[in-house]
Amino acid sequence: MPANTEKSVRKDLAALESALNETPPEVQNCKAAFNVLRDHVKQLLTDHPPPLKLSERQWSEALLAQARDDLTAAEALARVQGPPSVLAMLLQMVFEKLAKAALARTDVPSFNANRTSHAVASRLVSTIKTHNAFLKLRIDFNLATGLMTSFPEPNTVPKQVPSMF
Amino acid sequence: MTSLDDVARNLANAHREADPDIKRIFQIVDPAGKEVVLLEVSDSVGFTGSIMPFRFAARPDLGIPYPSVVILLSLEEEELLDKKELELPDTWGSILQLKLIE
Repeated sequence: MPANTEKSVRKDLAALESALNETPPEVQNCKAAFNVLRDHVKQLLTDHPPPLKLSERQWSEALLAQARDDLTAAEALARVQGPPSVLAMLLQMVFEKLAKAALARTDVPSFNANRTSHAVASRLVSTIKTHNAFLKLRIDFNLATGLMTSFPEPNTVPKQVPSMF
Repeated sequence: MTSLDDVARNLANAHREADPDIKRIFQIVDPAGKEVVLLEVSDSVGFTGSIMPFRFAARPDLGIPYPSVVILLSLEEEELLDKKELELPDTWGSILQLKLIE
């Protein structure tokens, strides 16, 4: 949220509250305070999230590059049997960036609506699971799901993590 | 070539097999007749409060000659969609025809 707009909205709310608390309330003052508040809220909604400055393709390519880097980090961590929780966090980042890259390339309004969301990761995984019979995955999704549901104890993470992409 | 409706039904059947918690599948009719769009309501997905249409390439080798779009929704999100508190992207047009696939 842009700090200056947030500050204005808080000030406007206080002004409106003050106008409403006048005895007797002055309708014109209340309307004026409401109009100022409405304009600032509109501005806030327009500015958040900030408008895209790069093209959708540039966003998509940058997100894909980040997803690849996160996957490389996840694989490196798995090779040294690092903490499973950190591995899980990195994999979540991989899927989050993949999901956003896909949305940026194919559905810009949905990308805009979800570009600050973490939930895109889980929704992409669920969608891949549902649609996996028609995807060219490098590994069997059911096998991967089996690996995840029987996650090994720390220090027994398999050295070779299957690569899906 | 297989019709969009037939491909939608085949995809829906495959998706039900992959996710037995799917409660309903709707086909969103693409006026241009170029892609299969499925809206699937499943008990297996959590609430996000968002519409996330993921697009997939055609797989003619597997009997899917059209690109497809899959939108997964939780039961709660379906309720929000019914109440118009959640909306499909404007770019899809304001009047969408949804067909329940039995």
